[in-house]
Amino acid sequence: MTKNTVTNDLNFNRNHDFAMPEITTSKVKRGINSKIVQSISNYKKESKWMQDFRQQSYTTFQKLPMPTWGPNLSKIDFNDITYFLRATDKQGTSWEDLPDEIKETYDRIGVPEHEKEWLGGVSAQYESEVVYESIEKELNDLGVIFCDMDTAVREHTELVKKYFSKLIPPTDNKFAALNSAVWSGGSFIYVPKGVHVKLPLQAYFRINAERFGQFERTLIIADEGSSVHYIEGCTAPSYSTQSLHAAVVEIFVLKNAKLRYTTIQNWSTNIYNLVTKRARADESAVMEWVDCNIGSGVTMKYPAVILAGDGARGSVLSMALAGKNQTLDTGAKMIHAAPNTTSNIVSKSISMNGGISNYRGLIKTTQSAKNAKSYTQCDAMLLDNNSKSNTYPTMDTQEISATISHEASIESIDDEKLFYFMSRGLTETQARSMMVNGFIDEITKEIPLEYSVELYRLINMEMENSIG
Amino acid sequence: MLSIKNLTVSAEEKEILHDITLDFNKGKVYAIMGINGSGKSSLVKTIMGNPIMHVNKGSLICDNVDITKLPTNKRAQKGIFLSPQSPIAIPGVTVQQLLRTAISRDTMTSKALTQKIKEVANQLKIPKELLSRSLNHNFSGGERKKMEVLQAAILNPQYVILDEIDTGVDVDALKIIANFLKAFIANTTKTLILITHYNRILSYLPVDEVIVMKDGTIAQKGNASLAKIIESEGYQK
Repeated sequence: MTKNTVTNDLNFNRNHDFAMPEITTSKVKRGINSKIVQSISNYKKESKWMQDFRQQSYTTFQKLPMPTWGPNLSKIDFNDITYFLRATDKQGTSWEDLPDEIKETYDRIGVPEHEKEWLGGVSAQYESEVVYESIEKELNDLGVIFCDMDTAVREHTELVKKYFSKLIPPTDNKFAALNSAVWSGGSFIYVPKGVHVKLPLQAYFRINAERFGQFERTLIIADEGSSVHYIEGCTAPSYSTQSLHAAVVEIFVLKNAKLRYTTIQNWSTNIYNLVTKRARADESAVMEWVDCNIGSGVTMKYPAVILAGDGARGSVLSMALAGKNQTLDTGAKMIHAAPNTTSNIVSKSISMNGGISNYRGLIKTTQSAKNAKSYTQCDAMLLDNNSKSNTYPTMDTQEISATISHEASIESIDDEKLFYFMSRGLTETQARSMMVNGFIDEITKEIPLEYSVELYRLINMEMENSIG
Repeated sequence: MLSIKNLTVSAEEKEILHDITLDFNKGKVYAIMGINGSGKSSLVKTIMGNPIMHVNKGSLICDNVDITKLPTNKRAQKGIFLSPQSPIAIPGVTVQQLLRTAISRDTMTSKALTQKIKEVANQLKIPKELLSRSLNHNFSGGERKKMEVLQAAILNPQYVILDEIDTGVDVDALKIIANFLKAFIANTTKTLILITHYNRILSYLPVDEVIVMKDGTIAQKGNASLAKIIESEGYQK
């Protein structure tokens, strides 16, 4: 059966834009200062090293300037955000154990259904903390760890200390510093040597509260010769006020291991999505980012791979659909720091209804990157004259034997194409949706069917709204 | 019946069709011929409602309904099909995806559609792997034209309009396409309208009328023998 057949057979009518009454058991005051950072530590009953890490990070956050390049962030008011909100005191391993508001949220998003059908493990974060997690018994028996980051800090301290903030130190950028100071939740995954996790592990991030900040911290370690696919989905209801999502994701792909990290980002358009994601790929390791961005008002996200070992491979497949009031500034960074490393970037962006999508990329080859190869393909589709697309590729080549290529194209939906589709009986909306879906097919065929179905539905919805 | 009444059309502010009147009856086969630029493609694009064609005067009547102002997709739903001279490539969309969106599930289930596509592809000798590739993307001329015929066969229109379905097609493929079309319309009330420069495709089909266009008007009409005469003697007598 083709993907499209499934798409049309499943009658999706879910809408993620719904808000539940706010429920809270613990919450810090709105705004940020070192006391608030300390009270997060207190709520979490953290040990000294983490308390110190947070305080130092807060100092760094205060010192670092806001980014002066890229989208306008001047409307972010750090004092109008709540940095920690615990919705429930107990974490469930059964959906039935959760408060009704939370259970209903995930039912409506369809998480329990996905869990039953095709996932090896699920983690669900609601506001600041993970409220539900599960993992297949078989994976547990093989020594796979999949838990929330707070638990990992408590229960797998040595492992966490070895890797935590090693790829993205608080000094990396202002939002990484902020995350380091107030982080809460996120996933921790450790896959032991030689273990192949067959079914994907998935985390769902939900922001329900208004004027809120979600700062999850994810750390994944794929030990030598192992493999795993991690998926994250993000949704939130729309509010007229701004919220902030500033995650930090660090990935370590050890020798001969393979890791795929898939994101389906569908935040509401009142959310600033400013995320730092970085992976290190050791000898002959493979790191793949599949990054789909549909939502958020502003996104700044450039998944990176440091190709640190001989023969390491990295790829970023990314798509962005920027509609009204959206600026999606996405891209990729590949740092070739070892011989025979290869990187591949495919970026597809669609801009409509005045939306702006930018590709911002960096390909760097250090002097150790003999015979490095890098290919970037950057395609943009503009659906109307009000929308924009920009490309900012940067190449920093210090090794002459490296081969780096970059291709870019801009497409529009012309009348001839529309006429062809419509002469087969398709409405203009159907025709446009079909062309857009065809344009990003290279990306969507790489994501799990359940999500490509969802993506297809979201795009169709956007297209219908756009023509109206 | 598909009727064209006193049709005057312009494109890019230039009048290109002048006061054309024509009837296409059910169950008949028509050939439209004429030198390049005589208005053949413009005529069929106007029938299909291409927005670049502006009807200044006259009307199009399909089965007693005035379709002059209908959008293209509504005309398709009324049973008109047009295969363009150069079918465009559609990245990321397979023929099945296109047809699945075009045909409602009440008309045909996905299973039936898949089956039907396979059957027709088999009859047209379309290699299986083309079905799962982006439509027309890196297809040869002949493959594109066969894919058009396949779409026509599955959409099952009343009025099948094919603009140079025989151009860029080798003799073997031409024979397959022509025989397929012959069987497709046999014992039906379908109307087949072919734009062509050559008699070859017509020789396989029971042509009822040959219409010759010149400078945006109908210059001549005749039976099948007119096509043979044109082929041997040209348009200038």
